[in-house]
Amino acid sequence: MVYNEQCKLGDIICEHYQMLHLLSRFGISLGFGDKTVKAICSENNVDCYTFLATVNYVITGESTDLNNIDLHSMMAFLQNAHTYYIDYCFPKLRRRLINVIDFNDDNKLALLIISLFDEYVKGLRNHLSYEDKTVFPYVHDLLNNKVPNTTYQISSFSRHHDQLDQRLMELKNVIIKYTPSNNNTNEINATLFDIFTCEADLKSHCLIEDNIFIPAIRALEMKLLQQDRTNE
Amino acid sequence: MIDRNRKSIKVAIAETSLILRSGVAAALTKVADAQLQIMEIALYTNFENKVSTFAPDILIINPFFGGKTNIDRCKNNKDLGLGNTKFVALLSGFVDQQIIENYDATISIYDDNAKLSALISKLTNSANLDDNEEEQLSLREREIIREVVKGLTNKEIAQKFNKSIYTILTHRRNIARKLHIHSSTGLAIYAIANGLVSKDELKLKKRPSVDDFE
Repeated sequence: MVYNEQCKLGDIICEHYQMLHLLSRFGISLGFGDKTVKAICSENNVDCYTFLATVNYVITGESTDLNNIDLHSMMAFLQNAHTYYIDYCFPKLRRRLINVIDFNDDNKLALLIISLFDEYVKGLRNHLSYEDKTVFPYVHDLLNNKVPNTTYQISSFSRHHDQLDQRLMELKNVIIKYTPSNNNTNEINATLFDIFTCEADLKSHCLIEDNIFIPAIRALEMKLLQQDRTNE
Repeated sequence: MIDRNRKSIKVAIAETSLILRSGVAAALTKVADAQLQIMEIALYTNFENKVSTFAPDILIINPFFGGKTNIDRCKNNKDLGLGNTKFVALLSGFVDQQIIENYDATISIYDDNAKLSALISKLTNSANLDDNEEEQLSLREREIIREVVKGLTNKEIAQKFNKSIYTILTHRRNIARKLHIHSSTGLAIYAIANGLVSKDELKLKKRPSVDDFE
């Protein structure tokens, strides 16, 4: 179902709980009662069009007209997601994994699993840092009407995602196949579920970047290049 | 059984009819769920931008989407970078041969499971989606895993077995392909869990700390 600004935000969340992540990343807190999307966005200073485009994309897979996406809102959204992964999600996963895995110097297998986990997070951090240091400043420049230099290709950025996907899949497979079982089955399963949820969230995040953020940037790039040509 | 480790195939579906579009997406998902990343395109606005960014392996498109002439232009436009994309015409009825002669393949809405699966395999040059034969590691590959995990470099392994480094690299690529493990840490876990090395032989790069990441 495609949602519009008159829908009640509470209903949307009840029907699609993954939207909770989107809420917090757009800076909207819970406790909004029966209000509509339009009212809540306005109260929270969130660009309503961008919010709805993202929500509808995540739910239906269909993206919309990208010329009206507010890139400032998108970048704040993505930055909040990064903070979530690095400061909350992965540290929490790591602690849970260590708890279920019989972590001690004699258990080389356990140490290796945690090492693999750490290596993955390091790769993720590098990617996110690249976004913060290269991509976002580039977009800010574009928003300040700086004409894009045709040598930087924004589309090359989405290829990083394939590599990250592959490494996460390897981590997940290894954990599923080789985590030694002990009496802690419920706790192990809960931890694995957390990892799956995190993986799904990351995938969704990458899709948002690839199918909303990047195309919106390309549309802006093209617009600026065209303006530049007509000015010459 | 589907190989969940294979890199996902990107499929874009361009069709204005909601029912046809969703139907194709659902049918493809039934055939090869875990391996597909599907993007649905309902309208012609921004079509070229979306497709170019998504860079699908396969584009399933109604031959009359956005008017026939626009599609030909899209296919021939080098700036869009769709040189590796396979163009598949989505047919709901009889269509003049001339209209579809430039497509790489066609899908009819009456095609069955087997046809769809075979088509995707053919277009992506991948092994049949239903194949799940786990290739066994060769003796030599097992030996190489042992050495990697003991801490030897590729060069040192080449010297130890009296082979060229290129041979060793080829073995390592095959190992990665068969096990779906690309990192040396992953290999170490495989080795210990499968008894290829004892825990004393294993060289651990750095002991991870029990507290949060450094």
